[in-house]
Amino acid sequence: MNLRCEHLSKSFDGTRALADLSLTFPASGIVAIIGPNGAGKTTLINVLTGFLKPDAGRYFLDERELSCLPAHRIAQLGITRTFQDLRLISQVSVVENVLLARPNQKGERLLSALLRNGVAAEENQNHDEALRWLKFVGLDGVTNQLAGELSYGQQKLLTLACCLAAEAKILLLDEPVAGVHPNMVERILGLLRQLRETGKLVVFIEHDIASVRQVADLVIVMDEGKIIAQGKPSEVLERPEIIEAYVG
Amino acid sequence: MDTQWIINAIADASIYLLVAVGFGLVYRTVHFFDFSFAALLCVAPYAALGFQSIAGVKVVPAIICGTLATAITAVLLEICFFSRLRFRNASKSTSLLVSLGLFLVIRNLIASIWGDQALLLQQTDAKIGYAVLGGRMTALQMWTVFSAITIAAGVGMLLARSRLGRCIKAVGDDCGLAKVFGISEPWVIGSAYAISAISVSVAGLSLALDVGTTPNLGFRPFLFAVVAVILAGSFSVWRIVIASVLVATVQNFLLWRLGAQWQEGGIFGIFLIILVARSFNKKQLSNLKNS
Amino acid sequence: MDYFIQCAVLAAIYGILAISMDLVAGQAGLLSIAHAGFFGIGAYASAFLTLHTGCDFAVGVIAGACIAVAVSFILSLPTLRLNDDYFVIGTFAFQMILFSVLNNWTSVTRGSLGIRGIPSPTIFGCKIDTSTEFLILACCCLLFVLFVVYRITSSPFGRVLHAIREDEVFAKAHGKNTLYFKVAIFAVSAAFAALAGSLFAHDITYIDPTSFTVMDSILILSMVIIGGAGSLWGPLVGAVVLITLPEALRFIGLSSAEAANVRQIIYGSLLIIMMMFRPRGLVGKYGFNK
Repeated sequence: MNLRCEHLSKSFDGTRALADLSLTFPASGIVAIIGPNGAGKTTLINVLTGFLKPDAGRYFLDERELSCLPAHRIAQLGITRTFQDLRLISQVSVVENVLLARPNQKGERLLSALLRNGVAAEENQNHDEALRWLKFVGLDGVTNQLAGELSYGQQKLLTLACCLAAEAKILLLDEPVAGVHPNMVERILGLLRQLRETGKLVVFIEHDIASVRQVADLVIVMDEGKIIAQGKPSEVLERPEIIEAYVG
Repeated sequence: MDTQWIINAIADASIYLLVAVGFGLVYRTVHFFDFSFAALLCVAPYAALGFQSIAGVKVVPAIICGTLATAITAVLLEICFFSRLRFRNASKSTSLLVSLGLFLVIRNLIASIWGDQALLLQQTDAKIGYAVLGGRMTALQMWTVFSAITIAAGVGMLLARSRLGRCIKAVGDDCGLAKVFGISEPWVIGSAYAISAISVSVAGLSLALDVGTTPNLGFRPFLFAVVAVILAGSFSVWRIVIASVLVATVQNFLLWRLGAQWQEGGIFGIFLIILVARSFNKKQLSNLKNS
Repeated sequence: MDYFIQCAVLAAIYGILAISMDLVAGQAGLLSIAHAGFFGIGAYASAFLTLHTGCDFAVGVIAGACIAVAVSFILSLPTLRLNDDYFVIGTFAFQMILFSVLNNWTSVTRGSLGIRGIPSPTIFGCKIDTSTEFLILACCCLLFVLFVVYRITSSPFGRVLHAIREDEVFAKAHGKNTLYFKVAIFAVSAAFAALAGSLFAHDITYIDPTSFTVMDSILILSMVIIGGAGSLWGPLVGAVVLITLPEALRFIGLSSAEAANVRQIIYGSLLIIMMMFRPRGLVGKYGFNK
């Protein structure tokens, strides 16, 4: 699956968040998007996942244009995301959060919910899948705890488990290691490395250059709504103009 | 051409403007729809009646006392209920529901004390009015129009030029940050409620002096004022003036052409269409933060 | 004895109404003040059909439910785009429009004169003409509604509704077409409110628009809040409390006008007390804390 965008522009009350941005993501691997605050990184993810409509430009998944599709439809096509401000359903259990992310559930149709034809079997299947992904991220010991009772780092792992349970091919992660303990950073980065082996595309926004160096196959540097550099971490991160854009 | 409906529209617009300025100022500050205003509209006339019958005061002092009573009631509601909800970080839905409860309690307390029949603040002869623009307008209606324009202009100047106005805007935009800068949230919000209550009480008293007061006096003007505030979009006095005039004009036009029975349905039908049409142009999901 | 049976019938009818309101307000987190309108649609549809065609009670219920569902689509499809505050006002406006139609479409509803002489319901040829039989009918309808609501809320569909209530963005990000869920639950809720309306019409045998106003919508919402939103039994508890508690006023010598005002004061006070001190109500799960 190839995700690409052409000439994307987006402004907020005169401030240009995306400025004629064109980009083609690789089919798989780990891509890091870095840049100073206000560079447009989260805006790019919001546009690609349908939560914001661009002022101009288009974006595609393979040959299918996504620009006019609503957010839920883009998610159904295999692109999922996390949020900077950790969106979870805090009043339900960990496993229920992951079950919510499971796609194509028969029981989510009203008539099937009433008649329950085949819903129980599918629910058991989804439950097993949810537990599998919770085990993958290391949350199998807290499946019945309320999501709101988890630590911040555990909640970050839960959002990742939700993305994986959605069976998405493309994961867009907004600062997945921000604000967590270094041990948890290592754990999350380790999970991302494992995901590389599964053929998924993982795109993550990050400010921590050390984390980017550890896992990214490709680095995209944004500033003022434009891409100012892209390439391997070893090439991009040593350039003086990149360091200048970060440090000022 | 029959222009009486235009005169009536101007008179109604001034009532809606008074309520809209009051309701809109509070909404601008605390960001929830406070339905207790529908009951506050009739607190002033009934308080004035109370002062007349208990203390034996004349109409004008009774009206002043009624206005003060409304302001005090509004501030007490804010202190006893809404400030506590804000302290607990209660949602806007919670505050709205509490305001609905307050509306029920206040309206029915008034009804149980004074009854449901219309009561007059003063006995006067039938009013013929002065010739204006081919129709007739009474002195009370002229006074209401004058009051509405004065109060709206006053609130506009307050917000634009005074320290209190700047504090109200600051609290309305970001209450937490305003507190960091030393702005006293209770004082600012209490002041907003007091000013709003005065504006709303002038509307209630004008209606009561014109047609008598009933416990349901406030409901329809309040709903039309909410329509005007929402149609105005943002709390700019000019926008609220235009929106109030529009609402009153459409209401009276429907009354003239279709009769009294369809004016409410017509107004709310048009309002709903505009509200939905506007939502197609709205800014996207404001709860997403962008970097 | 008949008096207590009549109270039980009213509690069952308002229980159905409150449960239907909870589907929208408590399960999906959509604060709607248009429910009395759907209640009225069911009542008028049933009354009109029964009087003019002598049809079975079930036919009247189905017709009322179908009309209510169609009207709910007209309301929900545009207004569910609005954010929380504006959605409430949108439903408020819709309720005012519905009342205006009921009050002024005199050729069908007879306007403020109302429809009187609504006959006792007939089910498959059997006439329900005693209060005990009507109570059994009302309780059967209540059990049916409880069963359907249980099926919905305990299913994956219900799980998504709760997610929409807590964080709609999360639900959308994981591929849920939230508009479908909201429109669907609105339709189910409207259908059940219409069912309650049909029962009400046949029970009281006279209906006029003043039974289906904004105040009645606020009363139904109060039942949900006091009993407890987001739970199966909370709305029913709220309905029983708010129907039976004011009946005690009859025994303290108040006139009917005074009793009506005191009743509203009690409703308003309970609403305030619950939202201030116990937002989840007596037995509820959701406290309108979004």
